[in-house]
Amino acid sequence: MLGKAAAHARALGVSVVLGAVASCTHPASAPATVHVIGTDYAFAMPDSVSAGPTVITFENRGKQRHEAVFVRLKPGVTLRQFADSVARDAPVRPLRATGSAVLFADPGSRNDVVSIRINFKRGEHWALSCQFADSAGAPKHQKLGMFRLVTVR
Amino acid sequence: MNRAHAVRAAAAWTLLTVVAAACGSSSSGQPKEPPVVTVIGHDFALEAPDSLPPGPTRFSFRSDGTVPHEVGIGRVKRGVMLDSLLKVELKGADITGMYDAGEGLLYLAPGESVDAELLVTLERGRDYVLICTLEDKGKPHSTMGMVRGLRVMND
Repeated sequence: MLGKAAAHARALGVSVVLGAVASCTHPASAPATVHVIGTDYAFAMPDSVSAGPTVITFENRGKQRHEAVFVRLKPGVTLRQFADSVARDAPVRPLRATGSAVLFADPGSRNDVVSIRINFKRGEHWALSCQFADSAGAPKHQKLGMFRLVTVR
Repeated sequence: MNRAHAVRAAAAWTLLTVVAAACGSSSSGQPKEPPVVTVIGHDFALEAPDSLPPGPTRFSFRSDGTVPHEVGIGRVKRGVMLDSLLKVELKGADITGMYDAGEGLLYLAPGESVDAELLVTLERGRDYVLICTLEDKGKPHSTMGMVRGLRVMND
């Protein structure tokens, strides 16, 4: 069964949810939807998105398993800077503002279990990538073309 | 489950039902946002509810860990017992075939936040798994306690 720490957390979870779940809000309108399509090896999605709550879904039309990793760039970091770091295999963590949100999809399938919700703010820049590789030592999919930069308008 | 835990669970169930109902619609007919459940990552546990009502649910994630953590969410396949899946995972064996294809996760390095959420339409009576598969010194965090089940209520 679960370890002691997890068991303790399980007991705490009940009380946490009392505060955590009671936070539904009332938007002016339903969130926008952006559908991302992954292929071998590219992403199809707009270069820019509108500000506001947005639900992102992911479909994999390739023959390889893919992921869609979203990270927000730090304010002031340009799309060019981030793209150059990726191209040079340099660490991008210093350039990103947040942790990441990831969706997975098997070949030829749509992820109908989980989607990502982001409240985009005007002027933000986000990166989309697939960090998978087809085999040990093979280039990451992002180096093969599965890398996009998105601006919030 | 001891008595105190049972009482808290009953109270949580009641409140969740009320909140879920309140979040589902409005008198003006305007769509309302799904409720938000915050999962908290620790070294090495995931703090989250044991059960939730069905319907669209937003999962946010924060971590007070000293190493990177993630919360991955997957839907357990029909016919797979949640306890069995958790036992397999805690042993370090592969559970990939025990949940449906199509997962999502939120990742945080220490001190980071993430301004994105996972949106899951929780299906009535189904089980979900919450897991951190990152490794520390070659050992998956899941085998150290960072895996748990989430049961969706039937009513």
